[in-house]
Amino acid sequence: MRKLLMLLIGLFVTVSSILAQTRVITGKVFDDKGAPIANASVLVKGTTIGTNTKEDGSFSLSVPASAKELVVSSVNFERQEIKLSASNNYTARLKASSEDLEEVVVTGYQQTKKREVNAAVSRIEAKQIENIPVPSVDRLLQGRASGVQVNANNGVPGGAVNILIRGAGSINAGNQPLFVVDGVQINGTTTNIQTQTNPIAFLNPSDIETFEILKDAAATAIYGARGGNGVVLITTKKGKAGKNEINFNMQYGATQPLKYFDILNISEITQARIEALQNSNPRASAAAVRASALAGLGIPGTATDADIANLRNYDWQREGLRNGNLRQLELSLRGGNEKTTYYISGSYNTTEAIVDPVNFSRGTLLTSLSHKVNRKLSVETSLSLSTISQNGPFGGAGGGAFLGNIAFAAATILPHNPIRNADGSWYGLPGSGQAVAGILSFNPMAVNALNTSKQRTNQMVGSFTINYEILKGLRYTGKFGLDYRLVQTEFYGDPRLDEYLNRRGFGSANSDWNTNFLTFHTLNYNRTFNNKHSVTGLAGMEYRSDVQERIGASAEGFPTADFRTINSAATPLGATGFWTGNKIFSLFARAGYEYDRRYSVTFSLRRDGSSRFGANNRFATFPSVQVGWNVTNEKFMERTSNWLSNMKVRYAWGQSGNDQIGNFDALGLFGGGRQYNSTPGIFYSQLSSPTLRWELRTENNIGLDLGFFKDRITTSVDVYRRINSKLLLARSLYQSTGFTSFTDNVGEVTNEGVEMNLGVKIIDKAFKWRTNFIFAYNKNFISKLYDGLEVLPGNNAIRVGAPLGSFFVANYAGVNPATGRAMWFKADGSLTYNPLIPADQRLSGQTIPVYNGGFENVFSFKNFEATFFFNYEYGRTVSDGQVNFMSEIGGRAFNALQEMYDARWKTPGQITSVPRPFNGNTDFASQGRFTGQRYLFKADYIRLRTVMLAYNFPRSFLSKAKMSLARFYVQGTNLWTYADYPGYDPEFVGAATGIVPQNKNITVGLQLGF
Amino acid sequence: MIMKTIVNKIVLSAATIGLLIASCSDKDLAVQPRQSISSETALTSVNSVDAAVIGVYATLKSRVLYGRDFMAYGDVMADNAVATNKSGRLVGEGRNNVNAHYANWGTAYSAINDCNLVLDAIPRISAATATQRDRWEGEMRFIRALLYHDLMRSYAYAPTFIVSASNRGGVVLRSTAVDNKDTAAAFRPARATIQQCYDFIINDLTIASTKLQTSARAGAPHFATRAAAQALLSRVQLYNGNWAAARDAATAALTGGVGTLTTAANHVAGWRASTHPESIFEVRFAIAAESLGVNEALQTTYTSMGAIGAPSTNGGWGDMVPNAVTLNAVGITGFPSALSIANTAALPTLTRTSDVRNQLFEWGGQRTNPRFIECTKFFGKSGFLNVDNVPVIRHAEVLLIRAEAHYRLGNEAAALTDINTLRTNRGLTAVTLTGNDILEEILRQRLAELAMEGHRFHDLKRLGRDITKDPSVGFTLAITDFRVLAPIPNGELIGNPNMQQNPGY
Repeated sequence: MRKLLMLLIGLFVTVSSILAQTRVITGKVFDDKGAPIANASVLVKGTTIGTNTKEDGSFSLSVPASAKELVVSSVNFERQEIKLSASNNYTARLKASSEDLEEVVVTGYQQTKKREVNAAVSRIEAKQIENIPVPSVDRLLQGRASGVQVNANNGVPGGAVNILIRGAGSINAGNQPLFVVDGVQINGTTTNIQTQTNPIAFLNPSDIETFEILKDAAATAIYGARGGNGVVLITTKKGKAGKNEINFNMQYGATQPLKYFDILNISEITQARIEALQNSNPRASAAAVRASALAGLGIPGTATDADIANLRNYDWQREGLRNGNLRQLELSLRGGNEKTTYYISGSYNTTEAIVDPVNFSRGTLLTSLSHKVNRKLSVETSLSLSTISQNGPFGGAGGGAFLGNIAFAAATILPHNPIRNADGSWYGLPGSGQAVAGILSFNPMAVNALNTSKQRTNQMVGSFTINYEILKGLRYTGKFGLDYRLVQTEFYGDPRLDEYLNRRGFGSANSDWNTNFLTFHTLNYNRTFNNKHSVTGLAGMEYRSDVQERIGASAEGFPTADFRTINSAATPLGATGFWTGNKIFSLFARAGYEYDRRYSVTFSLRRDGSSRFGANNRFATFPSVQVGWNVTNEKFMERTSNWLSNMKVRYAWGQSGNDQIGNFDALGLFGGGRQYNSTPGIFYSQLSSPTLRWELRTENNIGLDLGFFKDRITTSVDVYRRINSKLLLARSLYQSTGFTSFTDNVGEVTNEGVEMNLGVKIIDKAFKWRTNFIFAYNKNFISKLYDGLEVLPGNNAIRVGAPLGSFFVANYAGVNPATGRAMWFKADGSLTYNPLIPADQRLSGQTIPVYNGGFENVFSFKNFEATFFFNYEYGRTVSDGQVNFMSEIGGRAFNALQEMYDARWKTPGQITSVPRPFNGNTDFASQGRFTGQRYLFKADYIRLRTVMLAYNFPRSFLSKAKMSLARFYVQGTNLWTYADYPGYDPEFVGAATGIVPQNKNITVGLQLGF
Repeated sequence: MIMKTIVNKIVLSAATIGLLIASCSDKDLAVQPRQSISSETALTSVNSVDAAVIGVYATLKSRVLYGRDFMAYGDVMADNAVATNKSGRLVGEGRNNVNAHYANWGTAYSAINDCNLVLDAIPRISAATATQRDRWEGEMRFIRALLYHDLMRSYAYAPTFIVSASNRGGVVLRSTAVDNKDTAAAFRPARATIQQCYDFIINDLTIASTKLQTSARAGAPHFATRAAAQALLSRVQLYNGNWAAARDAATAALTGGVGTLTTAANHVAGWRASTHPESIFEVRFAIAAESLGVNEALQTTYTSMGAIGAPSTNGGWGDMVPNAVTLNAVGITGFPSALSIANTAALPTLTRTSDVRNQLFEWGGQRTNPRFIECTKFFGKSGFLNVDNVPVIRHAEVLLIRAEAHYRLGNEAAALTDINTLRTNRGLTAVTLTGNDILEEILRQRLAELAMEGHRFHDLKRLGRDITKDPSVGFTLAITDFRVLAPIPNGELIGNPNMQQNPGY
């Protein structure tokens, strides 16, 4: 940390010293109609000395005496050079450049004028996501782009995030989108050994200029077999000619738990255990039951109710779920002259999760340089280095051995167990003679404090690019990129703890490498003839190879707990190794034509060859076509131009593929790794599937863009139908064949949906109020399986007509008021204690939401700004393992939820939905109490995702302080949630047992620009 | 000029690289795995076939086979053991809940197919010697028979007791390998009859006995031998009700030279040894990496103390313990009727008879209140925590099989001789009994001798006796109840008109 700071300060000082000056030139920059141009660059030719113009077009610049010429430039204008004379005041008039004054969009391998993009593409700009402290930038997509659904798997900072673009299309292959950072495709592998990682956590969010999200198959067809789940193109900030800009930003705050559970005290737990034991053994005497209950709870058999009521209840939740620190520090420099530009940025971020010791700290360094060698040749290089170190929760990557995870244990451990002894040492360590009562028979705080779960990720993403203009409008681009990642993990099980006492400690270490090399070479053509015919063309080839390797070792038997590396262990236990790789080679082309800014058409074609697929089916072709009509530019629209400022109709059709399966799924394999009597053995691990090919996504998209009242109201609506066919399905086999499945191309999934954006500038005076509403509806269902099957053998929830992620379970019928036993509905509507699988099961909700979106309100008044951003999901059902455990109410020696305890069945005739406590949780000749629908919860929510309040220091202050920006802000994340959900967080993905929950945070920050 | 040359060089080299890539062919796109080998060439050499045989032995260590379930379930699902609900494991099985049952179907069939792959490959391995071929065939037939008999024990009735109304037959018989996806996808399994299955198993064991006569590999009892095949055959014939065949196979097994009956003096030591001296076939767990872990290994399932004789230390879960039925059978009294006692209370002194087998039961550790009397047959005998060899069939069982066969054949004297051989080697005196009392004594000895080794449930099932659960569970499971048979995995039935589920599921 300190070293990094020194480095940043060093950079800062160096650049400041460049600002030595001798004379001051002032002036103004106008366009050819006489309107002032703001933010135009004014630069001393051949140097990096420069400035940008203000709102009124004026500038003031200190130049060395030797300066001869100024270069004035601005986006969409032709460059102008001004010879310096004795005068200290100049006026520049810039001509509009012959290129259109159009916003451009990155669409993969080239930039396209936004007007000519007719596929479904969403764009998120830096301004929208500024200063929101997230460890990985993918979380910023939540609710900000229509049709992009993001779920945090958990609250591990820098952990995995689940992203679905336009629903899930695949049953067994991956559904995660492709991330491309400045043209380099990022390897999406996550290495979750001791904690979770995220392949794009290497990026500092402040270094991002834009996200472009390619959503439909026409947009992603240019990425072929890798584009089938959508593509997120991230463009980082680049240098720009002009004055050196220095930006400094610091942020400090705290993370806090979203909630604590309302749980029982030891008297209530005792009561629940007594009821559970008596119910499960009605013949036992009350005295015997009481004795057994107290023994199980570690309470002396002689204790009276009053004694139990007097036991102290320790607050494990508030001790275990803490407030964590959140710190972020950034410094960036950008500038350059007309030949060379640069952007350099460094950042340091630490985020502590609410569960000790889970944390995340990252240092990043991004260097981006661009140099024009001559009129035709330019080279660019971009190098992103990052190092991330994380402490993980005990029990692995946020799941696994949940008993030891504080998020689970703090709420479920019996509360009369002390946390620490009077001298501050942990209570209940082996050898102390102290016993931790209950199923959590160890001190979970000690387990997390003494064990070590560490993970370090060193990642380098870099590229080198050559651009050469062969002819006017025709350009060659060659790029060489590398995404290299080393993840090192380390686990130490402390011999002072029960679990590792008898082994005298356990240690393991793993190293995991990802080497992802990519190169592409393109020819790019872009010209407009007669100001009417705009022609674009792209032809290219690409090669990518990915290799993942791992080695690991483990050992046990450490001299003392101070020895924590495996070389000091007495007994080596095992060594693991792993290698996998794939290659993909592609050719692609795109051609576009636009007539008179009114009618446009674009075709694209990509041919991919992938090593993942069967020898008989290595190559695939993915076409697309998009057409658009800019109605606004028609003559007849002039009549309505007073209220209808923009109207565009779009249609796109395309195909792309999904290759997210294992690298060797097509091969017939005998695997190793089995051993018997210390002799290695092999076994038939996988049936070959030589015709295996990519999954095919075919999509139709119709879009309408409208702007009213000079674009004060803008809206954009897309309607799509996406069909994923030839699914890469693990086709179930009858297990009596000796195999469970092989990968085949069978089945079909359909996604149909509507997406809408609505932006309104509600008030646009000194007080400004702008709002942006995003809405997406997606209907997902399996439209076909194979062999006429309605249900996938082996998975009853995969059935024709059902959405992916469905629950297929028995419907819960509540509690029999006479006996207190849980009942379910049979298929014929009658009641049963034993619903049959699958005869009595029904579809009951899905894990992927039907509706989702976001709602943003931005207010500004003079120097104050306020942003309130909400996101929402509706139509999602999840099961929550932790809530299940906490609904046992006495079934085992765990703590439970107060609301469940209060509602439990106690007396005959009582109407309730919570069955009677029962030792072991499964009543006589019944299914378990959490069978079927009873363990499902609606996870609909609206969340105040971010609040940002900012104050910009006034211009008068800035010019005195020689600053271009000074901004003070307060930011809050996840401050408020509306949900009817009993668990930690309705956003959870997965079983939610022992997963670190998400947190809320509040930070204050200061941003300075020079 | 120089500048221009440099420019040209750069552009030229980049474009050349591009062209090189463009020439990439289908062959260049082939990436081969490094920790697997192609199935097409896998079973073509002596070494690889031998490795495949080892791979089959390795599957026996699975939790659903001999790693845990075939030891623990046969007791916890019967009348002589209870689940303690410490970790919550085995509680469903202990209550005979619907669907809480053996689930060895998939693992067993995967291993059976691996056996069939080797059996199909043997004629193709011209480099193998006759001894190697005999060994492989004998081993694969032995393991296939073991797997099939265990499938029958889970999913079907034994010929000696069939509930006709609930009988849906035996299991799916496969004698040839599935080695490609087309065969696999076209296969529609159907259940053979119970008798067809028993005939298949007996045939395998008969051939295995012949093939292993001289070819067995070194390392008994951890590998298949002729004695092992005969021992398993005697068990299978006992379930099959072919008493004479059971008797003859038992005699062959007892005199087969693998293992010996322990005596009263060394019986307990036998259970502390890595390899049980009585084992005729035993599944080997050799190294720490083979452990099923702190939640599922037999040691943690059965015990909660850190060391034998040290109830104040902490070890595993102790999820399953013997109840009064087992404890009385081995001659232990003096424990509370609830079986357990709070950690804080003084341990009641247990009264023990001269039966040495009761020394394998003692007060357990204090992890997760309260304490129970636990069985210490599995206690990290291989030298690592939670790593124990598992005896699949041993001398005492075979002796009791022969006693039962003698009794059924009307040879009460021979039956008594076998019973008394066992009794005197366990610290008990010889008895003189007649008629049904002999059968009851055999069953009592099976209970005492084979406790926590997974036999009781199957004994009650093959004899058609109801299961009187422990009072803490509180009911009697009629042997005609549908829960006696395990459910066939639902996936076997979908889209398959040939397959029949067991009733009630």
